[in-house]
Amino acid sequence: MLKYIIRKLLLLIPVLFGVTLATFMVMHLFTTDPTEIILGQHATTQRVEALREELGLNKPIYVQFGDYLSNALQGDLGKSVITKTSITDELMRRFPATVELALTAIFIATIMGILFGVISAVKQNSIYDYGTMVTALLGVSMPIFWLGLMMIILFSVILGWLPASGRIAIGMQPETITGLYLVDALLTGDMGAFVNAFEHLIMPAVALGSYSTAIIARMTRATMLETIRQDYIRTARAKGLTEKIVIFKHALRNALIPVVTVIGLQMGALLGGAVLTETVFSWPGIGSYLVEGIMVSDYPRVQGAVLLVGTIFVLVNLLVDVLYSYLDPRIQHM
Amino acid sequence: MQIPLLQINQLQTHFHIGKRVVKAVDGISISVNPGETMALVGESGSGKSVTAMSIMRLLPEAITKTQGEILFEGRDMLKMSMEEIRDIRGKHISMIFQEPMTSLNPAYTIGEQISEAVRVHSNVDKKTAWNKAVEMLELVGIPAAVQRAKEYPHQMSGGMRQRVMIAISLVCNPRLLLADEPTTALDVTIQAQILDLIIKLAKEFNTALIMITHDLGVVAEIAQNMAVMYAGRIVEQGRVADVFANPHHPYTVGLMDSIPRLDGGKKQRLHTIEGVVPDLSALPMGCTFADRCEYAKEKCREEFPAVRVLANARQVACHYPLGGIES
Repeated sequence: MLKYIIRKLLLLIPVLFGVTLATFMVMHLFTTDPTEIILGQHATTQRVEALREELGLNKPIYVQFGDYLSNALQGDLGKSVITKTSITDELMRRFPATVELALTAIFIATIMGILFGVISAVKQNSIYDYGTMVTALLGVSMPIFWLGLMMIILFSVILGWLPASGRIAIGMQPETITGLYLVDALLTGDMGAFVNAFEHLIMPAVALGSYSTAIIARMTRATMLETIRQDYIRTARAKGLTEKIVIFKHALRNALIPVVTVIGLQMGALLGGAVLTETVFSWPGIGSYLVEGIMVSDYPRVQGAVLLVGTIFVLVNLLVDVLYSYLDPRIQHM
Repeated sequence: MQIPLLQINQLQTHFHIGKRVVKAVDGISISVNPGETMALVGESGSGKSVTAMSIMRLLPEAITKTQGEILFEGRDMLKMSMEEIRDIRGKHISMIFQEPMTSLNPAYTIGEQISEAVRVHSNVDKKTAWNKAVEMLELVGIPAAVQRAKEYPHQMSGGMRQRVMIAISLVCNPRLLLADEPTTALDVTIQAQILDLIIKLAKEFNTALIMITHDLGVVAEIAQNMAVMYAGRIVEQGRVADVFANPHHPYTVGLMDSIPRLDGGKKQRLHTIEGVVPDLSALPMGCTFADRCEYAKEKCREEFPAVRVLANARQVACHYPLGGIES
């Protein structure tokens, strides 16, 4: 098993190199010259040249890439060309916000998705089944930003139940321990902060998780339907087990194997791809940082954010692989 | 006279699939005494497996319509609640299935799967149940049972898996064991071993056995009574010795003629029964076997033959039985 993990970790190197190279090239070849953004269109040539010198843009592109790579390996992702702040620091500061949002979203999606999927499969072709699957179809089809806006209109503007944006009310931040507000609030026993953070979190998390919920529910339904027709389910019933044990112990465990892959992929996507949700709800995470970076052609910022997202995605997939061999004993740690 | 352990009266199991009604089992009656072995014989699609599944109530309820009586120790299983049925399943009546390769859950060790059966029906702790599982594995002839209990089904061969299934089915010491072609999916070399094991253990545990098979050789070897099924009905039943000595139904005769014989001449070709089993959703009006029967007359196509009860609990459903019977 350890050998398998190490091999997978080694595979990370070429993948991340590829991600870095691709982002670097895209940012340098196809976007607006950052000097133009910083200095404006009417700057003098001397000032532009001076700035290019300062940013290292006058060197050949492979040298720039080499410099970037060697710095990145030491954990230095450079400075924002706009704010001049360290990108590594900024990413680290924002990372917990994204993690908290994504984990909550995937948590909701997993619980709801599996539950809906199982009930749908067990009660196949009932009104319940049709209702769930139509809802799931809507969940897959609705763009997150649209759903997010509708939720804001309904719950914040019309009903006034939930805050429309941000992570927590100003001045209520709990003491930082993990950076996850819910956890920190619990650890410090600050119930006010917990409730407030929860109110801010729930709407973006549901919006972000809606697509994953639908995907997981559909997948669970499909694999459950296949599993409950298996011979070993008949064996389980023939032993005299209750239907609850037959479904949740014997069927679900086998049906979940493919679902875990989907959950893993979704989690990777949510951790990195909360871009739209974070923007709609002004969530101070990696996604909104990335979007702002793109808007102002802040190339080191974009590169840093994409690299982080890529790393997370690959690591989450590794985690799924490991979990997989636990769920399915036939996959013996190759 | 002994009270039968299991008595099936006029059992009908019909599947309603869309607008079609498939009469998989259509009015059969059999009875099995404690500790006795009954063979249910017939070709594929004759309703043998459906009969067994009806007893266990394992058929999908939404499309299955069952009528008649299945009396287990005098109580009608068809009228029982699901809870009562679950109490019988695995504890009083167990079943071994045809496909050992797929009948075990791939996600749990075989020890877990055997001890689970113990724990549903008796109030013992995990350790005791596990030990019982290991003991059963030894009993069904699995070497190094302590280690093998920790293995998963995919680490075992088909024969081994069927041994595990036998262990699961007998671990609660049931009074009736339904074996649905337990050796069909296995290598010929393993078949005899598994069959011997089932017979031996059934005797040891004093378990009555319903052996579903299409192999008359097996029937002759192990069963006291036999019932020959054709298209959802029993065409002939009686004591094995009687039926073999003097088969009355043309179908039974056909089945016996299709067994290769050691004393047959070299040139003699193996007998086959022409044609196929009729469509169970569109059964003919008369005798279901008439179209394949070389003795069929006018009456056979018009009227379904009633079951005639003869001496020695012998029964036959034929207008013109062979072998000379005095009624």
